[in-house]
Amino acid sequence: MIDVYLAKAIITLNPSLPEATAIAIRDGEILEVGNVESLSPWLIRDDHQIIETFKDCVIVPGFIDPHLHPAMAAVILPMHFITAMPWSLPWCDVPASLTPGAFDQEMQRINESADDEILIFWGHHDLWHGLMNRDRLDAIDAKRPIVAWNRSFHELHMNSACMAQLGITEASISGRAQIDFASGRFFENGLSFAIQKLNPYILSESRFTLGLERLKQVVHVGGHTTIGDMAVGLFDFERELATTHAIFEREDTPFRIEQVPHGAVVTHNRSFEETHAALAELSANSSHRLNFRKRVKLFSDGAFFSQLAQLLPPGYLDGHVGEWLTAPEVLHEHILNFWRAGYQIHVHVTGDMGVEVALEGLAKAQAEHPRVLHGFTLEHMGYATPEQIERAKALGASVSANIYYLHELSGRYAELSVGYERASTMGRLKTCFDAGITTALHSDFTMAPAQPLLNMWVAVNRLNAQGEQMGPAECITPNQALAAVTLNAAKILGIDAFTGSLRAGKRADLTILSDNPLTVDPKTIKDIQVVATVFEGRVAVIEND
Amino acid sequence: MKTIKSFTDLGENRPLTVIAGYLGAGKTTLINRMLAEAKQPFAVIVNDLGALAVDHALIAGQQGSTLTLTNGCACCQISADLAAQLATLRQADFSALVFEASGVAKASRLATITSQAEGYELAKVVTLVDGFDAPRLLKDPYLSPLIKEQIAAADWVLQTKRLDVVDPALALLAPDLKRLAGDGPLPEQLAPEYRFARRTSQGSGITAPSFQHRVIYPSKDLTPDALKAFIAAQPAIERVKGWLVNPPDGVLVQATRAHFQTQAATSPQGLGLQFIWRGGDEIDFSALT
Repeated sequence: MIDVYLAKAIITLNPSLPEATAIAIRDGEILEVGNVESLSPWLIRDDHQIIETFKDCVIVPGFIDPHLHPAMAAVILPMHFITAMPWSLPWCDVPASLTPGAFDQEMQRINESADDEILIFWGHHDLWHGLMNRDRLDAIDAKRPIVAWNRSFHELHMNSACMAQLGITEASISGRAQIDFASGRFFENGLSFAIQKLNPYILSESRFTLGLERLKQVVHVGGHTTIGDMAVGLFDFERELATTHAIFEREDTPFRIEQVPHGAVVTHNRSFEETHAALAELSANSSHRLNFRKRVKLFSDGAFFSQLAQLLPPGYLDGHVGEWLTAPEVLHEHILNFWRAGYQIHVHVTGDMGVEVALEGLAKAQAEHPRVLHGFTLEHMGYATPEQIERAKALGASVSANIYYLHELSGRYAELSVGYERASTMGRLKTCFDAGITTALHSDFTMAPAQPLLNMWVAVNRLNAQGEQMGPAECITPNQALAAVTLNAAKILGIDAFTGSLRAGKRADLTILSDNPLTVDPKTIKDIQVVATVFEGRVAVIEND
Repeated sequence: MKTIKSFTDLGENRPLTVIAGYLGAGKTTLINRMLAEAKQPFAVIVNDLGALAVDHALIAGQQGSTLTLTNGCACCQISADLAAQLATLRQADFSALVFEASGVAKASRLATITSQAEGYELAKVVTLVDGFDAPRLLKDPYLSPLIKEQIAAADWVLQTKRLDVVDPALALLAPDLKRLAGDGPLPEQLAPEYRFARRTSQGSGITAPSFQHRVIYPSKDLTPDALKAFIAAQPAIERVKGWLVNPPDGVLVQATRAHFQTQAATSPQGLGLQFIWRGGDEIDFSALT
């Protein structure tokens, strides 16, 4: 049986046939993209049905987010979101709470409706919601334990009932840095004390499972047919493998997960040969939806949200320095080991000095053992110089960027972190495209919402959270932005042979949109609805309000 | 060298020693020597995630367990959490704990993290520097800030591997530096139970912020002139940026102490005014809201 879908427009990302109106699918595979007439040679030879459900919609290749973290999302998603940015979550729409009063009102509303044992809110941000403290939370509920977790994830506040329930007393935290008992504040290193107390609750089996089930909805509603788990082992390698398999390897899961192991975890206490053998076995045992391939994730410098990116001069406004997640020479050794063995290497780089170290490693590897189409990818790339981008191109590197940094942080970072020039040019996407680099966008969910249309909107318009356009010379076109969440993302994961664009022979992974992202007013790209996805030929409709 | 507390009185908190230093500084070798000399059993935690598979194998007859801790980001500590591991170890019978930091760990951060541990007291931070490698490390653009930080946060800096000379740049950074011989008995200060009196300002990695910032939501009536007068009357304010809705079409204000500039707003959202001011004192913004 052949399914023929008609659409107002089908944007194929196939340069030879960029637009079409009909697509024929059999056994999960695309037979042909064209129009009803051009498909006839197929249709006269087999049973077929013409499906008009989406005839007023626009079909694009199934969205691909090449970099998110299911395990981390599973911890955060059971929390109640109260955020300055609106979040559209499948189980609720989170409105933008832009004032302290709005934040308190949301806490109050959720407190009255939810029956959690410990109420955990996520998304508090001083810049919008004012200073948090214990009294403010006590005023919401004096009896039920409440935690207000900061947007950055690096700080939280508890109410008195929560501290009592967890056995936190003034004596038990006396002398500890970065904890303020009076205000119930635990931040940075003090946070680990709070997490230790909260762990039995936030990592409980039922909550973790709920978190992954919710992630499944988030991924589907975002319109994805493929996601990359860009560091399997971030929390616990074996537990992640087991739970993701149980929850995602099911007939009703409308997407696949491309699994990339955390390099430091899989090489830990093993020779490289042992690591290589273990990863080969994982690849061989891949299931239909969950796939390891010859890929690895490595880490260069610190987290972007916590200002631990390593910066070349002139560094940060306040003179602090970033951190290395891996010593530069160790990173180079890992790169060389995996490079010689033919892996596709993904390196977490947030600052331009982090990029520098990664590129040096790549240059050494190329000098020793030249490779082409090797898929070495700079992940996140908050700050990079134009000269580095040129070198990245020459060395054959790709870029997978978190462009949402620009939206959420550029206004604040201009004033408080790195100054205007560098804040406004974070995520130099146009420079990457102009250089001819394979460039993709990712969410690093929950660092950004897992909504490719939202990321496309940021990349095309470069508007920050305050509504200011930042670095307009780095805006990319809607065409480029669409490629960045489809075909280019498939290349980043090394799976473009079978997905990422719509042409004869690829798997039938489609995303069905209410409007055409290439022709709408670019300022409205984020408002386009995802109507449904098709994963390997099977339709999964999305309920929109 | 700093003042030394009596180490006969262990108190109820067990002493915790942090051994810091870049890769190859000799941390593992030192810990093995400490284990060989130990009169009472002590636990060892090795934080070597990211290192190649060498360190762990080198720790001979290790009493404790290995910790993998991702550097830098608290959100990665949820399960691989140092505090949780310390809590587990607390049940075991040993007199002291030695924590081998990863080569890229900032010693001040570790001192702060370990200071969170219930039932332990930070006894000392010892930073090792490879005497042969020091000149290179202190010039390396990627590593010198880290090496300097590890030295600054230490109670005791030891030069390893080289006994003849100390690099002048290193001597300048660590005037109390001692050279550690590769054999023979270890100095008594390296016993796991030995406590240094901590300087209060040291090791926390936290200094008083030189700036504070806050977003306030101005009243609809607030005019640019009134805001300008407010800034003039508050000498600590260094920077204001944000939107006013008076005049009604909105105006973007950008000010420092040297200039006050307004332009028509392109963003009518009225997302508040961000203030940045110098020093630790609070400012009363109620006149604006």
